[in-house]
Amino acid sequence: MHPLEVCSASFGYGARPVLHGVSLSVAAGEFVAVVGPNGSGKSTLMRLMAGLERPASGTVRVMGRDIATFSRRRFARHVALLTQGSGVPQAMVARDMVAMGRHCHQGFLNRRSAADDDVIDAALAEMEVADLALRRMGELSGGQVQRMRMAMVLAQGGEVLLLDEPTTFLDLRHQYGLLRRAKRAARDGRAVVAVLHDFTQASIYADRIALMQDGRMVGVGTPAGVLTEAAIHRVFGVRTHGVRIQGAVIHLPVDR
Amino acid sequence: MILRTGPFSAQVSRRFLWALPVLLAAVAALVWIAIGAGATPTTATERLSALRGEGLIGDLRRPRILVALLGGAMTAASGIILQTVSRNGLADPGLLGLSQGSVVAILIGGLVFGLGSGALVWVGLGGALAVSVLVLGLGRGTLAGGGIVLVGLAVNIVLGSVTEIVMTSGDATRFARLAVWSRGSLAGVSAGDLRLIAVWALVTVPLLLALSRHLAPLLLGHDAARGVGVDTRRLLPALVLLAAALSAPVVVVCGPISFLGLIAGYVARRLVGDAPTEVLVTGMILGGGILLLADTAGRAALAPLVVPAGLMTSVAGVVVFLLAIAADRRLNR
Repeated sequence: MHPLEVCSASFGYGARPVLHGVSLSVAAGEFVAVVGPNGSGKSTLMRLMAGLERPASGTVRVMGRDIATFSRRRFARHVALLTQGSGVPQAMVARDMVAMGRHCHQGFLNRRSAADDDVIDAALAEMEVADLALRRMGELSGGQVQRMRMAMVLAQGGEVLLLDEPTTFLDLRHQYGLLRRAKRAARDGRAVVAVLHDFTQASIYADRIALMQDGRMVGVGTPAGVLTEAAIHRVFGVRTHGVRIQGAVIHLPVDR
Repeated sequence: MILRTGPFSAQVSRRFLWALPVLLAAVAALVWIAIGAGATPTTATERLSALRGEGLIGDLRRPRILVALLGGAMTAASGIILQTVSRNGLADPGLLGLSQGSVVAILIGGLVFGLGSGALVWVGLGGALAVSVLVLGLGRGTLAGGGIVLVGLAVNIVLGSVTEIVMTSGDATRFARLAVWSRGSLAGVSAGDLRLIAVWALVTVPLLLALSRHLAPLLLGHDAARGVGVDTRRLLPALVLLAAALSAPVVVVCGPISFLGLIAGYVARRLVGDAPTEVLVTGMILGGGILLLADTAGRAALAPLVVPAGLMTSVAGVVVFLLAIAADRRLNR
């Protein structure tokens, strides 16, 4: 049993179909990057895995259990989701926002246990933002905000970590930093899935690549196995020359 | 600052611990002034016995003061809920049209069907709910932007003209009576009104405080809130219902008190930050204090001229509204 299993899931917004029988299993300790062109269904697949949408057919299972049977609170204890940037409360103290990751572990009378605080401190340290913890969110830069959001989902815990385009607002250093943290989370035993735009980055950090096109999964496997010149041409419509450097797959456009 | 004993724990900010006693003291001072304010001067002993509900002043001013405190707190709470749900600091039951929805429903229920004030709360609640569903539904795509306020404004204009039509279609005495109520006034408050408000406060406020733990994640956006374990599909309708149930009884008794939720929410966030439970408690104390101040100033400061409390809060509200927009622009650059 894998922590996260998507079995031939289909989904559409109204009459417009977006996913056609997509399957993907993610093992504990594995980092899978979902890549594909705009509109290929990456983010929709993410929404299904996060339980934000229900598949029209097929199932999504977390820890072997159909996610339709979880309450939101139970589900959040297993699956943490970093959403695409959607604004943060400007006047809130950063540490209080990170603490919201613990929401699903708290109750009416137990609003902040000592264990919560330890986890929050560890997450702040992991993202190297401990020194900013008492600042208000509105005072932080875009990169710092994103690292705080990542600290929040790390503090949430659980066996599955979902990252929807986590590097979008970051400069290069923090892009790599965040992906390294994601990989470390996988090494600590979580199943990590990230939607990424840059497949070179994906090839550097991910154990496996899930390549999507027009709502279908067209390739799942090692970066070198999936990100071939033929596949890139077929999916992205560009002719490239592929180079491999220390496990990374780099594609240079041919008609420069 | 975090408080823990055994399995129980809670988080309190230092600013909240400062603000709470200061605000409570200010409200107490305000009550002392309000019970004495009037045409004839009162001694300290007279004020004390009036506060206990004795004598003519006690009969008249005590319920009026308590209704101002409770009604102001409830209106403020309603506004702060709407601000959190819509992620828009400018939301307010008056501005979004909930109060006006209650007004129209109450006018129709009272004038056409001749209902009493107990039943009118339910009618007003229905009006507020209908408007909140309409406004939050129409403004859904633009919840975080200013869109929802524009939708509320449009609904307000339409419902306002319905109110005018109903008011001007009767005789002059009815018009005079309704004109005062529809501007938001505590002039006619009785002990029965106090009971009505108190019952609704007893039901809604504990429910709100129990739910307040889930308010903070809503500020992250609905997807992220669900991600951290908040069932927004159940929570959001419950909160909208609660916002309507907090504002409707106040409208029945005092008429629509516009901008109070906006002022209280804005000032509370300035004082204690962005933790919704603290903003709620602070905002409710502020709301009660501000409505009492507006009512007392409206009847005593410009005497013999009497200005309805709703007009006083509207004037103060416009100032805060502009300040909030300016501050918003600074934050969003």
